[in-house]
Amino acid sequence: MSSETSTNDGFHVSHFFVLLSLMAATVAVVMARPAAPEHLILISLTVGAAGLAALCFYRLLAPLVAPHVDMDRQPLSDRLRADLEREKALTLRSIKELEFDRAMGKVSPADFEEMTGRLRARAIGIMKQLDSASSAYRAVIEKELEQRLGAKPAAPTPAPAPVPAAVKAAPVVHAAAAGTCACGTVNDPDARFCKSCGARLQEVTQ
Amino acid sequence: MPALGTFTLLATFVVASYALAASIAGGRRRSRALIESGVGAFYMTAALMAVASGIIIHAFVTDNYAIKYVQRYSDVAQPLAYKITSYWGGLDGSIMFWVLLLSVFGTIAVASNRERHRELIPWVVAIMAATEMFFIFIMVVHNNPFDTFVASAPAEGKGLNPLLQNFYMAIHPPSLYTGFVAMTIPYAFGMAALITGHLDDAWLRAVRRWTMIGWLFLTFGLTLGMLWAYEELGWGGFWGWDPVENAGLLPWFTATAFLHSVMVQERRGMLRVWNVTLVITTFFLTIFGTFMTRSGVVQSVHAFGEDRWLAGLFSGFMILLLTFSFAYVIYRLPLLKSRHELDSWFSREAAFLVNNWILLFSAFFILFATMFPTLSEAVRGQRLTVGPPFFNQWMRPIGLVLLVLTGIAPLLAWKKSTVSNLVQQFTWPVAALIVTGAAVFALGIRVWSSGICFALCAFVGATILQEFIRGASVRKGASGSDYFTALVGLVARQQRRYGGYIVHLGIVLMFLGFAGQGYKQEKDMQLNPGEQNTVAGFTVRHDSIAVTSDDQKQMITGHVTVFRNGKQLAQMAPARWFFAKHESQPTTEVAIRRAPGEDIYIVLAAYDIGTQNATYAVTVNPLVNWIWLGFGILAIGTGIALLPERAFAFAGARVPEGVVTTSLLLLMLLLPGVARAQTVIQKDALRQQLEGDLMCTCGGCLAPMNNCPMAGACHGLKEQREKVNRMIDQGMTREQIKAAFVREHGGVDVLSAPPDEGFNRLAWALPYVAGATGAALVGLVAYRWTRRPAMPEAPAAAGAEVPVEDALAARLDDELRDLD
Repeated sequence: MSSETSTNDGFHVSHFFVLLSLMAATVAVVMARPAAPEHLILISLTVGAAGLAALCFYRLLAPLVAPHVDMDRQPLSDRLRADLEREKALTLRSIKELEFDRAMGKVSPADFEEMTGRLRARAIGIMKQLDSASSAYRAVIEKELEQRLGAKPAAPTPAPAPVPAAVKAAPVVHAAAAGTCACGTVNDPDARFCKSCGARLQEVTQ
Repeated sequence: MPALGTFTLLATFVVASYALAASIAGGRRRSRALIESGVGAFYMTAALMAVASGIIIHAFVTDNYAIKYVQRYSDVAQPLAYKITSYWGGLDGSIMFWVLLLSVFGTIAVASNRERHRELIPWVVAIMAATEMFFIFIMVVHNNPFDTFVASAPAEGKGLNPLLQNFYMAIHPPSLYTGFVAMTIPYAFGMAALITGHLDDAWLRAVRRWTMIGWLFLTFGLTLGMLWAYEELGWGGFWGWDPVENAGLLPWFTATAFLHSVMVQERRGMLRVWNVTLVITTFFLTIFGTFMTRSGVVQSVHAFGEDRWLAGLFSGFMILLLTFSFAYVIYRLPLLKSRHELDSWFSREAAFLVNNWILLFSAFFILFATMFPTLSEAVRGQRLTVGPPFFNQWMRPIGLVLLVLTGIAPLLAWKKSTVSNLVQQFTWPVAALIVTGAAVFALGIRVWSSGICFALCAFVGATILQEFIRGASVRKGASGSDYFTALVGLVARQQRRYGGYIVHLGIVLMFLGFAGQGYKQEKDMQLNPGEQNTVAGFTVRHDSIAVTSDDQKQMITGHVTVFRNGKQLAQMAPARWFFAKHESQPTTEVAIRRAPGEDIYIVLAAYDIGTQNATYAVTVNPLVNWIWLGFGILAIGTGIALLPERAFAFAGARVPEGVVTTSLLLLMLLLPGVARAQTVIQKDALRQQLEGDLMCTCGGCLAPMNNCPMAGACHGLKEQREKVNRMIDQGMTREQIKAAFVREHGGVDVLSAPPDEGFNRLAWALPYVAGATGAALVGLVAYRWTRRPAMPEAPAAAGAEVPVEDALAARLDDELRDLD
């Protein structure tokens, strides 16, 4: 449950609380006078719950003292990726279900086209999100490399990406970090335009 | 120890308030640190409540009578299991149990949805923390389970009410509470979606599973309650329309409505305001139900007692809840408005609208009828009783309409059904309906509601069977496998739909059981040893009365033998148990012999140990076991709908050839005999009617004479029965006897239904009015939908991106093809 990574191999914060609970439970059981088994089990369980409460208290405090992490700049974690995959699978299932309904005569072909259109659009949207996730990761990796290697100066900002002639020339913004607009809004790393002022953003990678 | 318990409750309140504050601040400022901290605090409340629960259970187990709550509900001789279940035996403990369940389920919900619905989580935590705070506040300020005796503690405990000392106590309350508490989570997610404005279908997906789980436990809890009443209370029935029973039923109706209308939102994007309203209403009704049973607002055998302060506090919370929730609904109305229209009344959307109307009407009606006595007393100062006859008169036709809908709706198409469509779908089920109706009539069954119910059960059963068969055919054609594999694959790939059909099948079986009540028969027989008497083909012979005892109780058992057509069926032993310290409230140990066709149900009503003379109340309940079986099937269906897809991974595999025939043969060998229908014998009709019309005057059971749970030990009931018999012998009519009782009692609350006059007309008229208004509203909304021009769907791709979209579309088609 703790979001902090430990520096010691194999020892995690929760282990500390488990040990503490076990010791406290042992002490409590030894000190308990009525010795029927159900009493001892209850005592142990209650002390275990208290240990859990202590662990949760740590969980309550830890984020407040951890280094500040900007919520909007989180790359897609594994869990989020898994959830997007699940979302996509559900949408595909819904499309399959509609096809089944059409075969059973529960949906007319015209209605079928209209209803699947919506679902297909959603599925394509999710697929795009999953695809762009990989490019976002690259941005984060490059940034961390910069930080760790330290001495290496930041790469000169590349020339703006070639823009199709049809697109109007919007002011190009040179961002210090991926996705930050001059107006101050932090956007997704792969965003091309600021979501609040609409200015064109600098893309770190293509 | 008790001080530690109180401290834990206080600490939980403080931590919950921190969770509330941190979550709101974190959500508004988009600060991950605060949000994570709030989540950690919420987990901590769960751990702390576990500690508090451990402390109180330990107190029960170690017989710590310094704590008032423990002394009130436990004693030394009580078995360990009941000492533990006494945790939720009283008001204070039940509130603590509620908070425990809320914190644990909330923790699970938050932990499993943290990444997927990141924007919603802070508000979900905030709302659940606020609810916890309310209940803990009640406990700390007014109903602390850890309160101790100020002076010296009594040496002995009082003991749990004997009626509660059976294994149902271990499962019925926890299941019901789980059902209630689980409805908080959809509410929290719904409000979070409203607050953040993220009103796409994502919140529905988070919430649907929890609503299903809560609904399953609520249904389980209600069925267990019915079983408990049937097996332990001894009046031969299973549902008395008691206010507390109704309190559990109200959120069941709205949750069922929600589970159905959510499908419309997912498929057509309609009913979004309505779904949010349903979620709010379901949660409100769970709180209202809790309020009803703990405030003394309604009279009930089940109730925890009267408490003005508690009533006031709950009322304040409910008003706050409604104001806050609907304020947000109104605020977000522009975002919630539907973009689609209703194309035809012969569509599934329309069927779901009607379904919702009926379910909500049922909930409203039951709520109104339950509160009517209180209303009447407040407005006119006259106390009256609204009992089973009133409820049954309304709920029977409503139930039948609901049953019809269950059959019709799955066969209708989305958007609109054509005539050829309708003919193709309805031919076989309507044939089944007509055939069964004719058979029922030919067999001489004249109880109209039961007869119609049988025919409708056949109709719905045929629609379900047809769905399975046709679905398997389609799948067989698409996948090229055999029927059996196709059938398994069908259920595996469309879990929710076919799980839902199985749930409907369970409901059909339960209705079958309900229909059997239409011709149940009862008879009281006073017998000397060796004598026998007959009811509905069963002959009961009284053999002896035995007196035994153990640590806790004295047991008086009557031994009988039951025959049918000359053949001995069973030896049964109904009894009465007298618990130490509760001798004035003996429990009725009913003897039941169960069979698919009917139950024979025997209660030892009275006895004389000296002469070995015994009086038995014998009831024959046709088809009642189909109710319990129906629930089992309903639970299986829900389980199928809830299981993750991974569980059905085997469904793609092909089944070996011989397996199908072998399994079917085995199944046929195991099936018991078919239910036998009973022909009706109308005996003592007038007496039976009056026992339903008049309330038992003992003042304790608050039930009509034929439902009194203390039958046998109730002296008032015996005298009242004799009085009724005397009046019938004198030749008085039903109305005259009722009037005589009203005169003697000094009020109309001796009647089980309000007389049809004056203010009481409101009770009879309002359901009509409400139903008509509801129908009119639904019709109006649907009509306006048909008038509104459909807004075009946002084009799936902008012009400049066509090549990219094409590539993605091709990939999508590939993935669809690969999908089973």
